[in-house]
Amino acid sequence: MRRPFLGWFISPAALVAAGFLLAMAAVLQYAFLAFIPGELQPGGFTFQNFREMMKPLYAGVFYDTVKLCFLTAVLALLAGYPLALALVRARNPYVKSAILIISVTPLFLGEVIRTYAWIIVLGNRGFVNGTLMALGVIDAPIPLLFTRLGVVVALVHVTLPVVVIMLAAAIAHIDRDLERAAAALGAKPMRVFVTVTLPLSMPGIIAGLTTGFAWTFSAFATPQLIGGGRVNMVSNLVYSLGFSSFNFPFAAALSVAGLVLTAVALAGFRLLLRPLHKVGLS
Amino acid sequence: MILAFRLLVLLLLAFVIMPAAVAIVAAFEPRPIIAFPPQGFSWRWFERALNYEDFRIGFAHSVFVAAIASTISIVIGSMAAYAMDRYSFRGKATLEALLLAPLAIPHFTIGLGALILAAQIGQSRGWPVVILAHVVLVLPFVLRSLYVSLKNIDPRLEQAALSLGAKPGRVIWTVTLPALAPGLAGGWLFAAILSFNEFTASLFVTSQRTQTLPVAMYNYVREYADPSMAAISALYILLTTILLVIANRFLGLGRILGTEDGRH
Amino acid sequence: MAATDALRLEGVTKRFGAVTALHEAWLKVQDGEFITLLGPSGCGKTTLLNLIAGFLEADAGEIFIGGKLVTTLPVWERDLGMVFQSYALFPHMDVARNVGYGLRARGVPKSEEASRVAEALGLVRLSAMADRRPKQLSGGQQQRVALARALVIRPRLLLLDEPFSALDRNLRTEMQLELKEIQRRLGVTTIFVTHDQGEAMSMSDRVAVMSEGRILQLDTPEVIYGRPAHPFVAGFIGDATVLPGRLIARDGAEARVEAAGLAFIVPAETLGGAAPGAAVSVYLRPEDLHPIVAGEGLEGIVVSRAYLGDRAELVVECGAAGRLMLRLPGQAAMARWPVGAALRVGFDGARPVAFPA
Repeated sequence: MRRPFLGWFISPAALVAAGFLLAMAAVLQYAFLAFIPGELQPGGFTFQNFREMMKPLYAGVFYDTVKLCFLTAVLALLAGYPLALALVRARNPYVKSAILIISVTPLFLGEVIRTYAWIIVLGNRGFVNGTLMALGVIDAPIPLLFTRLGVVVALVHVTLPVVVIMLAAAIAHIDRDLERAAAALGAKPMRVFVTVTLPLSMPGIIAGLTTGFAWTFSAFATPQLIGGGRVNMVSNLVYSLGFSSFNFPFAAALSVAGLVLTAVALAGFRLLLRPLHKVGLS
Repeated sequence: MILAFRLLVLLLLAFVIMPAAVAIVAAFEPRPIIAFPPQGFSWRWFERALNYEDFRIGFAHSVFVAAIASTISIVIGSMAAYAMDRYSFRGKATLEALLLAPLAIPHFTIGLGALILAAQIGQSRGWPVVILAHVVLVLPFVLRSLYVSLKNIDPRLEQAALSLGAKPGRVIWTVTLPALAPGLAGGWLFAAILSFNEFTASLFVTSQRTQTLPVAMYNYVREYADPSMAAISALYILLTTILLVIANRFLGLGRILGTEDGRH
Repeated sequence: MAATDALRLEGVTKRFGAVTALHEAWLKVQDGEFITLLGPSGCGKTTLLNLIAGFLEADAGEIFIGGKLVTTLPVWERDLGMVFQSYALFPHMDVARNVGYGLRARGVPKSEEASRVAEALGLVRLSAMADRRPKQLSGGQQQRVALARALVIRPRLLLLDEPFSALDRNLRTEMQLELKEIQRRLGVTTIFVTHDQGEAMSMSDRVAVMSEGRILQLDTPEVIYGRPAHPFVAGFIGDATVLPGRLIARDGAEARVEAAGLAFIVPAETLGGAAPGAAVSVYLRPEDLHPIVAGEGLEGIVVSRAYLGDRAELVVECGAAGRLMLRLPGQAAMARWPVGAALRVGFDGARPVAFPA
C-alpha cells in the first residue's frame, strides 16, 4: 500500500506525543526521588514517598476521592441519561438544539466559572439560602458551602455535560427499527425502553461512568473552592504539596498513585459491567 | 408518562442552567457582596471587572495561548488524523494511544509533569511549556472531531480524483481538504474554546508573567468576594453561549460531538 | 360484509409539512390476501405501511383492522407482525429470545412461549439456531428469524417492509418462494412493500401501484400488466414502447387508434373523454412486436441489442415511429439480427393500451 506523506504527517504529532511522554516520565521519575526540605532540587532514589502515602491522613484522602468520584459518576449518569435520550430523540430541531446547547455549554465554561457560580448558589447568602429565607421556609441559612453535599452537587454539574455526550453518542447509534419492532410486537413504551433501549445503551453507560469517574478525579477548583479545605481530593493534595511545601517528589508520587488508582477503578468498572453488556438486561 | 419524562428533562435542564443564571443575576448587585435576592441594579461590577488589571492581562494571555495552541493542534491533528485514518503503519496504535491518553489523565498530573519537565530543561514557566500543555490537552478533542469528519468523506471522491490523474498531494489539497473544511473549522473552534478555558494544568505551568484568565479568576475568587467575578462570569457565559449557537448553526455541534441520531 | 375485511382504509391522508405523502388512500383487503404496495421511492408506500402499523398518525381518514377501528390505537395494541428491511433483530438477545419477544410482551406463560417459539423456528427451518446471536447468522437466516418473530404472535396482519432488498439475487428468489409458501399455509393476511416489480408480480394476489402519494391501480398482477389503468402504471410495470397516435373511433368498450401509420384496437376505458381525432399515446409491450418477412409493419434498422441468455432485446429504429423494443428468443436473435441489420416489425395480435396524450 502506498502511503504518501506518511512521515510528514505523523512527525509533528509524534513530537507532541514524545513531549507528553517525557512529562509523564518526569512525574514517574520524581515519584521515586527524595524530598530535601528547603531545596527545590530533589535528592536520590527512594520509596519513601510511597511509604508516606500509607499514612491514614493520605490514605483517607484517596479513599474519599474514590468515593466522591464514584458517587458523582453514578449521579451524573442518572441525571444525564434522560437528558441524552431527550437530546437524541427530540423531533423539533429547535428543541433539539436548545437541549444540546444547554447541556454542553457548561463543558465550555471551564471549571473556575462553573465552580464560582455554585459558590453563589450554595453560599450562606446565596441563591438557595436567600430564596428559602425570603420565602420564610427557613430562618437561618443551611450550611451548603464547604460541605460534602455541596461538593458532590457541584461535581455532578461539572461532570454532567461529558456524560451526556457519551450517552447521547451511544443512544444515537441505536437502530430505531429495533424499538419499532418491539412496539409492533406488542411491547408498551416502558417495556421497549427496559428491554431494548436501555440494554443497547450499555456501551454509552460504561463510557459515561468511566469518563465521569476520570473527570471527577481530575477536578481541582471545585473541591478546592467549594470544599474549602474541608473536603479534600487528591488533586488538592498534589497542588498544596507542590506549591505550599514545594514537595514535588511527594506530589509526583501522589499523582502516580492516582493514575494507578484510576486505571484500576476503570478496569474494574469495565470488568464488572461487561457481563451486563454482553447479556443485556432483558 | 411522556409528560412525566418531559417534566424530568425540564427539571434537569433547569439544574444545568441554574448556576449560570444565578451568576448573571448576582452580577447586577450594587453592594460589594454576593447576596440573594439582589438589592437593586448596577453595572459597576462589570466596569470594575473590565478595568481590573489582572483580568485584562489574563484575557490577552488566554487569547494568545488559545489562538496558538488551537492552531498548532488543528495543523498537527489534521495531519495525524489523516495518516491514522487512511494508513496503517508501525507504532500507529501506540501513537494514537499516546495522543488520546490526556483524555483519561487528570489535568493536575499533566500540569505537574509539564512543570517538572520544563524545570529540568531550564524552560521553567515560559510560554513554550504553557502552549505545549494546552496542545497536549486539546489534541484528543481535535482528533476525535476530525476522525468523524474524515469518516464522513466518501472515499470514492478521492479514488475518483486519483483515477483522473491527480497525484496524492493534489488529491489531498483539492478534494480531501475542502471536504474536511467544516470539520477543521469546528475542530479549531472546539480547541480554542477548550484552551481558553483550561484551568488546572495552567495553574501548574503558568507564572505571574504568563497567567491566563481562568487562573486570574481563580486567584480573584480566593482573595475577593465582591461581584466582579460574577460580572466577568456573566460576560463569559454570554460569549460562550453565542459562540456555541453559531457553531451549532453553521457546523452542527451534534455532528462534531457525535450525538446526532443517525437513523430514523 | 365490510366488517370482516382484514384491513380497510377509508380516505387515509398523511401530510409532512407542506408535502402530502399520501392522498386519500382507499383500500379493502380480504382475509388471507397477499397485497403488495408497489412504486418508486417516495411514492408513499412506506408512509402507508407506517400508517397501518401505527408508527405514523393519519391526518384524515380511518383505518380498520379486522373490522376494528385502529386509527388512533398505539402500535403495540394493533396485533401486527412486522418484518423490517433491516430485520431489526435485537442484537442483545439470542434467536429464541428474539422470537419470543412478542409473546413475553403479551404475558404468555414461559412454557407456552417455549413451545410456540420452537414451533415458529421449525416453520422457518431454524430449530438448530435457537441459541445463536443474530450476528452469527447469515442474511437469509436473519430474515427467517425476523419472519418467525412476526408470525409467532399469530398477528392479524403481517407487514413486510422491503424484506428482500438486502439479499443477493439467488437467495432472494429462494426466500420469496419460502415466504409465499408459509403465507399460504398459515393464511395470514399480508401487506408487502417493495419497489421491485418482479417481486410484486410473482408473489401477490393483488398489487397496488402507487405514485406521488396515490394508489393508481389495485388489481391482480395480470390485469396490472395487461390492462394498466394509468400511463404511469403502463410505464412502470414491464417495458413499453410509446408511440404518439390519434384516436380514430370509439365503439363501446373498444376504440380504434392510429399510430405510425398502423391501426390498433385498444380498450376504451383508459381513454377518458377523448373524442375522435384527439392525440393519444399508444403503449406497446415488447411481446406485441415481432419481426416479419412481409405484410403490414414498419421498416427499421437494429441499433442495439442485449443478449440475456434465454432471450435477447433488440432496439429497432423505425424512421418517424422512433425506437421500438422487441424481445426475441436469444439464440435466434443473435444469429439473425446483428446491429445494423434491416428488420421489418409487425404487430399481429398486439393488445396495446392507449391514454390521452
